[in-house]
Amino acid sequence: MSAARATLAVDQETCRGTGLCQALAPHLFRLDPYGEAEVLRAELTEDEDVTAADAVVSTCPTESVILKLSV
Amino acid sequence: MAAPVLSPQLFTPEYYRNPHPALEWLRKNSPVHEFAFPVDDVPTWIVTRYADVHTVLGDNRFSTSGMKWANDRARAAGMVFALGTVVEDIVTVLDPPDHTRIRKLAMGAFTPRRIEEWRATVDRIVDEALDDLAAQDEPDLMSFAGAVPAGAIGSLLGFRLDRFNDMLHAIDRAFTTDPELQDDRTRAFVEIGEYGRELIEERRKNPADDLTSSFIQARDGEDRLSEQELVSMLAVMIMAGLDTTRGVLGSASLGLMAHPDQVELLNARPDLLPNAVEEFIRYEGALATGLLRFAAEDLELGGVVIPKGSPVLASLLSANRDPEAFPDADRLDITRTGVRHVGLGHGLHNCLGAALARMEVGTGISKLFRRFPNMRLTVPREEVEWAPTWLIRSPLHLPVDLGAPAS
Repeated sequence: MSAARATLAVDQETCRGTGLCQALAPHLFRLDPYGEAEVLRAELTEDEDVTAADAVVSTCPTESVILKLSV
Repeated sequence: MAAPVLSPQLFTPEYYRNPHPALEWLRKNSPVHEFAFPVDDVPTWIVTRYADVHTVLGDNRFSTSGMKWANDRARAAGMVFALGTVVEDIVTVLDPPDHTRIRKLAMGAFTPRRIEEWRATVDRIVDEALDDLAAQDEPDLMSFAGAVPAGAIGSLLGFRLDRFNDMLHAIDRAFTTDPELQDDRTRAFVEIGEYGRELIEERRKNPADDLTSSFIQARDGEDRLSEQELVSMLAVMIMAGLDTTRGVLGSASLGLMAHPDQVELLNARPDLLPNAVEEFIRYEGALATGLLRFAAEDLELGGVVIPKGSPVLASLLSANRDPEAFPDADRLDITRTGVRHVGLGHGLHNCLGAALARMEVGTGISKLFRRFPNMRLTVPREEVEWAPTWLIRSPLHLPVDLGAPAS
């Protein structure tokens, strides 16, 4: 098992449930029954997942996706 | 099964005046409804229930990229957005990864945090537009409703948008449904693209600290945009930034004039404003439907088969009045809570300018009704003229008596 390359989270205080994350990266995000986003995986180990999450970070209208790269 | 002959006609003058009875009928009787699009009778589906609209907007197999997915009949009928013009690849009609590459370039300027920096500017723009309205002999609220977004989006882009009325008119012309007007629709897209090009040329000569210059930098400096994409970026700012906010300002005013208790409540409780803005966008949003979707494969929705390449309209107006999602849906209620409306879309193409739109609508409506709490319409509501387009829901003129100003 490889070590986490990044952690992924959604700030539910600012999320407005636009659904962009789920549409762009359905393997990483979904909308909960209240329509707010949540992550399906909090730790990312694959480069392609980090790239996909980063695309959501820079297109989410409310800046609610938090991606922290491990150093 | 084919829908019964009783189904209401869509995109007729009667529908444009008041689409809600037809939409209610569809929600009840034919929620995923096949009909003949007025241009060339292209088989088209309109989706009207909240849950189904949510599904269509959130499922990328219902793609806005007509260029990629539309069938031949839809292409021939001009249903593919701006096909053959310089603005045919605006971000709203791109699939990922192009969608994402381009949306990234603009999103940073429109986040709630960045838009908050424009609050004083928007306050000033609204105050000036109200002064202009008060000075009119025969006040038309829609001139106020157009001036606010023109000032706001112009400020971000770095220009006085002197030609915003032409642009508003061009947007109205781009989405008409009269079969005779196909050439005019194409010309409208070309005119919007040409205005975008003019603004780019001006800023190439005189760079400034504004959004237009930053888009030019992404093109000329970092090569992240093609020249056509740069023009499309300016076009989408103009198209999506003007008519939308104009529509909500007009419709919200009309809604409030019909619900005077809500005007009193809003004036007494300014803390309700953010909630009120969401309710205005729900009650009568600026887009009657999302942009056309095209089935990227054979799809099934609510038991109805939609063949690959078919055009699909998701009715935002209808979803937002669906009583299954919004109890007493035809009532404007600024204290409403519950599920989120889809007036700003949903999914990949949800409104990039939402934070700016919310600020313009909140500022515009609260200042308008504070200053003119007794304003009333001077024509019967049934006589209000609406944009005759399948896409945009906006009054064209709202003649008003401003009444006694607030003391």
